Amino acid sequence: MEPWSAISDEDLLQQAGKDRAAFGELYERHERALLGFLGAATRRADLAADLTAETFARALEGCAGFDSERGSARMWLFGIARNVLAGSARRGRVESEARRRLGLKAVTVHPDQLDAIETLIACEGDALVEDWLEDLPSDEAAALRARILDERGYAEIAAEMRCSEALVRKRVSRGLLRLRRQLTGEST
Amino acid sequence: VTYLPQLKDQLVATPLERAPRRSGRVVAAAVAIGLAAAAGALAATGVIEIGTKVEPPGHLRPNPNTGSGVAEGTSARVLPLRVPDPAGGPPWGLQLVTTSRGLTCVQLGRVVDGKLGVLGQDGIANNDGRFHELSTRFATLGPGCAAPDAAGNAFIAIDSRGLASGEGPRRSCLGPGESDPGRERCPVADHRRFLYGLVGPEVSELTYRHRRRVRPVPLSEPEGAYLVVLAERQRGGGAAVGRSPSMGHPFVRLTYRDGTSCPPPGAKGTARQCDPSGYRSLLAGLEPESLRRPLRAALSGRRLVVSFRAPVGIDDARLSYGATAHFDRSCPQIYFVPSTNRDVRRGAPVTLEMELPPRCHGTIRGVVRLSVNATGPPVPMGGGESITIGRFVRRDGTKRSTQQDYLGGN
Repeated sequence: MEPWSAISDEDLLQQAGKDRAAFGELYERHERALLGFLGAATRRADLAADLTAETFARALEGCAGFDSERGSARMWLFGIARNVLAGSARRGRVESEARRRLGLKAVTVHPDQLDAIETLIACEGDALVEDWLEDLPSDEAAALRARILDERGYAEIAAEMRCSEALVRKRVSRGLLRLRRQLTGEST
Repeated sequence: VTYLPQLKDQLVATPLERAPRRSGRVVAAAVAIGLAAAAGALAATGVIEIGTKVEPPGHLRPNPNTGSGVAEGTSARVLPLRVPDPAGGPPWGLQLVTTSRGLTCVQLGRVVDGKLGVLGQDGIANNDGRFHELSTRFATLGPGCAAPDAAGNAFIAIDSRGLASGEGPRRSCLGPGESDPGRERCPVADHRRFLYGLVGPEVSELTYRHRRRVRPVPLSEPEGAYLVVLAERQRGGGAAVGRSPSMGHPFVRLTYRDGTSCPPPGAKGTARQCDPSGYRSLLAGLEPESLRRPLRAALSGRRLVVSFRAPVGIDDARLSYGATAHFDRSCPQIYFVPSTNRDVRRGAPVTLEMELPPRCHGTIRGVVRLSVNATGPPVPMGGGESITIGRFVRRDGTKRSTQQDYLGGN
């Protein structure tokens, strides 16, 4: 049998329904990236761990429905992560339904693990987001950086950019749309 | 490097049939990274951060040879009982700890990874939200210590008021029944009522009424450990401790393995105290007449000093020598002379002392007893099982401070 390391993400997902070890390999490959992504979005290690747990639980539930023709396994995982993030933000609490359905217990996180995740967020989270923003038009990236990362108001951003608030809103909206397409592989 | 190997282990251990097929395309998120702004208000639900273990303050270090003794950490055993909290979070559980003086203490707390602890909320651990393992040293500081009977079974019932964070460490806000003008009240929504204890191996079922429904309380065998956690707003605080749970509210009935129950079926008025079933008295093998000893009662100023030689050796907290005293006329109530509260060799001199209450004069009559401390270390409340060692009479009101009376024990 081929070692897991020689098997593609997509094949691991296909096998995960029959062999959980395949999912374990997939987990190891993408845990860091998802923690970094969710950490960059929340700026909190505990939330990043919580959201990552729900993301992987949902991926485990849905691995049988994964279709490699519609995108890579990585993009699929990030799509799930964004859905978990969006649903959690709407509810005001991290979603846990998939973990409950799977019978998973709450993950106990020790201080040294939190420190490691915080370091990951600090070192890589900003870089990760900056990487994404680099691919955007500069005006959209600047608007997103000011509005989303720095949490500044539209009026303040508009004054600094010497344009109308409506234009700033438009740039933020377009930037988010472009990012989403970029990350999910959606066609324009 | 894996950041959360425990998460990976859980995922990999998921049974294959437990993961249902979920069809349909994942719906695109409404927003992408725009959620960073909302994350500040996001509450974690599925991770529990582990904080440092909490210990009682150093000045509360008990003596291994007096009172309850010292909790023997190696004896600590978290029982399999798990009870959900009304507001969620880690479940509640009980831990049994044996002390150096033979008591069995029941410790209450939240359970994470098989460890008993408290949550950093309600003014504990600077409200850090983390789980903190509780030191077993807290076991002897709470209300939950019981003296095992002659068969080694402990019986205790505790009805206490507390908070959702758990009990033990000092908190910065006020719990139910506490008052201090300088501190704020802990959130009322976190008020809890805890009913827990040990009903022994003879009980097969304990039922309680909650929201008009009678339901069984899960029992952990063989100790018959039980735990009920209710979200009840409380004005009062503290704990009521007995040897068996009071029937009435919320408990309804104790059913024993021999088919009997307390109260019996059809009994009028269900409020009652049930005797612990299967209890074997520590005094059962003792012959009362053989334990009588002469007593010496003396006054030193306003201090009553009663002394005698111990007819029975005491090497744990289950037994103690104590006395009661009362005055003929001026003070009709009974006074309790503090108990020995320590190990005593057979035949060794024992001294019991009490400051006489002001304004109480006349003849003092008293009884010295060997008593079973059913629920924890001896407290000067008396009651329970006992054997009389002797009686004394002492006349107060003379000017002499060291006059002595000698009376035979009967």
